[in-house]
Amino acid sequence: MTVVHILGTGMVAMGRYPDRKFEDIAAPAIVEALREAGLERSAIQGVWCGSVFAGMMPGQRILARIGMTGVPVTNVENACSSSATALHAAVTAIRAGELDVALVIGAEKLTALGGGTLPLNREDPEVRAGLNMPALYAMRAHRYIHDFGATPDDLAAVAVKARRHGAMNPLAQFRSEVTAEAVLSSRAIAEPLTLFQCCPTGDGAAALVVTSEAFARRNGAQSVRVVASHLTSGRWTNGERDMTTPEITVRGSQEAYEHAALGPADIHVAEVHDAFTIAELLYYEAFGFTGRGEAVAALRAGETSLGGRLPVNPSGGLLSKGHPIGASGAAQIVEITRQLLGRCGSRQVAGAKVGLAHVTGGGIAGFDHGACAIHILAR
Amino acid sequence: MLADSKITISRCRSCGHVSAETPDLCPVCLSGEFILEAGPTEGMLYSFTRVSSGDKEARYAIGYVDTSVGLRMLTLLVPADLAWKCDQPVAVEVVAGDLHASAMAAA
Repeated sequence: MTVVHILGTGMVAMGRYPDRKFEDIAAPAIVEALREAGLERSAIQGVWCGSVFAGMMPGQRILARIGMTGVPVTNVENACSSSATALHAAVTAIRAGELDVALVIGAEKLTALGGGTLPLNREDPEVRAGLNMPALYAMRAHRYIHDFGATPDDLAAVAVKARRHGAMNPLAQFRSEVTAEAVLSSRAIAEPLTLFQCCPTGDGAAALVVTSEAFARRNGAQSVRVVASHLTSGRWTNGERDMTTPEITVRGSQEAYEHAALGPADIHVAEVHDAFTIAELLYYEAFGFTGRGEAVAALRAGETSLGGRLPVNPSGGLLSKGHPIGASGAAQIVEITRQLLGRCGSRQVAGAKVGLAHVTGGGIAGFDHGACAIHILAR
Repeated sequence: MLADSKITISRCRSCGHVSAETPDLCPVCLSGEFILEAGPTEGMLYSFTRVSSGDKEARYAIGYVDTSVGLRMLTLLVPADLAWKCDQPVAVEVVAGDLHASAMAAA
């Protein structure tokens, strides 16, 4: 099977750009990714674009801004994992030998929605009953607190770490540190989650040039290998489920590790789906970075901070870097690629050679999450 | 689900799978025939949250209630300001078309 590389990365600083058009927010990320890869626009043989709320044909609209027309474009919607799903599709096509050079785009303009929680499907019975994304994660948090004796302080410590990392990332939406007291005294959103424990509303874009290994070698630019590209969907039930064991990520991580012939001890750096503080703790355990019920201890010991045993979300994660949802999957790959190439400055994970990116998509009744994409990269 | 205080559920005539609302097709066996049955009147609160929109008037509490028929139901928790706890026994009913759960003493 053809080995696939990430040859170029581009990303705009995440933030609030209500006065910029969606297309204009995204275009600079593509120009940067092409420049990094040392490629002309004409080298791109196929494009996959992930976005959720941009409306029809976001890929074509973005590409028209930079004169990249007449190329096959597939637009991908898979909630928060849209652009990671787009990457999975590009990797699959390159592995199959259908093309050598693909462009993956992730872009979103959440400020166009006017703020507040993400609009979910109004026909969903749980959404009709009052469910929104913070409420869903808040129920996970209360159950985790109940089952494992975690405290609101422990949840706040996740946000403190995220903001500490984000303060070192010039592309993060939040670039200032916060104290646990400030996190806990920010306004209640869905108890026990406060405002600073929820990813912000923001805009952003990221782009990836994805190629076959043979093309990357000929090209000469620095690149990293894709050693696992895994996508799965949640398993539906209208009965009981353990909300502290995210089944889709537990199953997906095992399969991704199997594809890569690696295990949790082999991962040097990870970006996981920390849309809300509780999620990061659940995912330490789901990925086997810690044992069950041991996430708080690992966080408190600094194991998952920069300088620790396995830094998680060195970019600041969704909590600090931001979560313009269609952009997030590609943005995680930008961070992991740059970490593996030693390009992350003050937030560099020393000696990182293997990195993992994980993004889910949820908000529908009966699922832990509807979608989960996991990529493992290596240099 | 009826609009009075009793919950009804749909049981698949072919495989027995239980649904909170009557689906067109059973998601397990794809049969299209269901029996309406009296639903649960109580359950255990699996987890909960109080949701704020920044406007105190708009605060409400919701939670997942596990019931004896095997359904996990998302309900409004009434009153919202009670000190809700995981694994708390609750009574469930339909009020004005919405599922409500209220605290009950442990048996």
